Amino acid sequence: MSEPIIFCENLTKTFSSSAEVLRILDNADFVLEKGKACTILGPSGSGKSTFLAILGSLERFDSGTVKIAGYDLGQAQEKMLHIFRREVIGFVFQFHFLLNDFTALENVAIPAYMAGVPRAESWDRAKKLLDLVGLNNRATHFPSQLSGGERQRVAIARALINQPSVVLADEPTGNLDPASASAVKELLKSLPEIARTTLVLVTHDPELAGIGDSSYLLKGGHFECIR
Amino acid sequence: MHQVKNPNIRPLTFVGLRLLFGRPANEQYNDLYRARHSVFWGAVLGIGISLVPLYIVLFVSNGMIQGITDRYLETKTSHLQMSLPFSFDATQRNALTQDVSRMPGIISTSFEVDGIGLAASQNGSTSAQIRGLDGAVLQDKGFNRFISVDEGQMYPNRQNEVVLGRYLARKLEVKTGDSVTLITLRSNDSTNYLPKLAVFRVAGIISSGYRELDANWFIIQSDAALRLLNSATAYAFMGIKISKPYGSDLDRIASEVSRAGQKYGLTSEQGARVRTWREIEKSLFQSFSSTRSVLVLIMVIAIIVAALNLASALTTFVIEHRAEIAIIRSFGVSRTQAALIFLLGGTATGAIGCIAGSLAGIAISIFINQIISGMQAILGFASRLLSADRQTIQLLNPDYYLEHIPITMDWRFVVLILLSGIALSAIASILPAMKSTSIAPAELIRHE
Ligand SMILES: Nc1ncnc2c1ncn2[C@@H]1O[C@H](COP(=O)(O)OP(=O)(O)O)[C@@H](O)[C@H]1O
Ligand SMILES: [Mg+2]
Repeated sequence: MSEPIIFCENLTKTFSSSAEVLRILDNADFVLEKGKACTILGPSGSGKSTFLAILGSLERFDSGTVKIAGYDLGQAQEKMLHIFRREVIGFVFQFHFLLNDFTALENVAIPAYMAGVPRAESWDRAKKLLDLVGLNNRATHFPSQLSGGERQRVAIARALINQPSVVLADEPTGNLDPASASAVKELLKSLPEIARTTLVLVTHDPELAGIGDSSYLLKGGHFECIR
Repeated sequence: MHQVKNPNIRPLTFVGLRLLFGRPANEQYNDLYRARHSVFWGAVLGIGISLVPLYIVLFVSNGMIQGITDRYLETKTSHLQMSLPFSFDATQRNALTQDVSRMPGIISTSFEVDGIGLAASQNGSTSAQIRGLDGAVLQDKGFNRFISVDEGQMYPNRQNEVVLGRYLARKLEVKTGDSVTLITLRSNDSTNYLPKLAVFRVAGIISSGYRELDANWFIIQSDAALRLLNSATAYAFMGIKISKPYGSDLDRIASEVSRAGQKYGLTSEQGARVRTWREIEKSLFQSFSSTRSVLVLIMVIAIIVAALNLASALTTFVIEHRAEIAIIRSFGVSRTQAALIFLLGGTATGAIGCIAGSLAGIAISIFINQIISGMQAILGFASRLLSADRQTIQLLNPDYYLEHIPITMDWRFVVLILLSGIALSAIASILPAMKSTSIAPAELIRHE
């Protein structure tokens, strides 16, 4: 077994409201090897998004260990986390969250440009990625000029721009009609291979649930390997 | 892993400015989009417009004050005044004049006897400021530069001739060639005053361009003034002009002149004092500069209001764009960088406004004379349309303002205003920028 790129042990995350304490993750373990893809399934409200947010360092956790690509997220200082996000993680959300005032190409290029990559190189990389997601003819279009599926593909390209070791995708087709979703699905299926990245995909879609190397069901705060 | 040590400013301004202003040349933008960004153009406009009056007030008031000061110095006060005893005899005076004119830095001297009297013509009478000048003023460059001759000549050629200030001539309703009676008081001892009458023929009517200064000028020869006035009612002095009246050696030259006077037995105990124009016209210039300070203060408040407007536009923007800020943060932009986007965006917004406002303010200041006369012409035309009376409209009362405002660009002011405007915009952006740092990218995951 090769070195795990994602390593979670005894991971606990609670949300406390005035009435009760919700144990979203309860001493959960989760391990994924570098370059592998897995899907996470589970009923709505089971904590899938919360888990992805923890992996992406957007959310902190109560106890346990989370180590990703050499970063110990439990130990890392808050002000260093943006470096982790920039270097390690690519995020794809249910909603595309493209910046309306920027073209497709600019949307893809900005994370690199902001990370200190020279402008020309950022735009170059972004062009290649738009090519990869099949939207090179839409480079100068603004999000408002793209279809839902196209926007999500631009968002996927953006997640890849800084060559992340881990891509976290949270129901990326959840907001799309079946017609728009199909191209996105095709893209996601081939993603681990073409982008040479590790993929954690949360999905409800039966067609997507089968992709990758393994599937987990999140239930009662634990992961259960179902494939 | 590498950390960006020097957060590169260019990507931050690229993102910041686009977020704030959007892309103007895209037909796909809907009205909502435009409305969102117009807030920023409004803030830019606000800052720009608030700067315009500041420039105008500064340049116009500086021009006015400079113009008025020059006129006082060149046509009336001189740069230095050495008061002379009334009894000081003419030969000694000439010798002293010779000595003083030979001193370095001095360009001219002239003798003057001032007093007050009552001027009367067939049409009326009014108080007159008697200026007994010697013929040297005709050679005086400064005097010639600022005095314009309405009719006749600039200086009375005969003892019984007078040159009147424009408004005194108007009040008396006299022209060149008319006679004017001057009534002065003489006293032999200090208790009994006797009126003395003298008739003068008007030889010329002149103006200094500033009414307050020349309104009552009654210019006669100094010898005539010496005859009409005496020590109890008049003031005799030597007016001295130096090459650099605004320079720092004004006081030094004053004390040198004073020393020269001592050779002739002129001491300050005798009342023969040398004063600089700064002492003589102190109250006048203090009131000028305090008026200007009040105006500038008002203008500065207007700029602060514009900066607050920018701050509120930015804050609203940050609140309305939480998701966009969160997304930028989610792909690895630090809090500091996110804050810088708004700080730089806001500062750039202010800078655009400041530059536009400065250009407009400078342009209006340069053409202020043309603008005022154009407006007077339009208003005059309109008032003639509306009413029968043929009164000419004057926007700036010539009693208090120069007829022509001399504008000199002082680039130090421009730099100062620009820099402080931009600094103020930066300060106004601090709060919205800090607000943006409180937006956590985790918000994205539970969007909708
Ligand atoms: N900030 C929060 N405070 C309290 N409860 C929360 C918060 N965020 C999420 N939750 C709760 O945590 C649970 C898991 O949410 P989520 O991770 O979004 O589930 P999923 O993505 O599997 O549908 C839900 O019941 C949700 O209400
Ligand atoms: Mg979810």
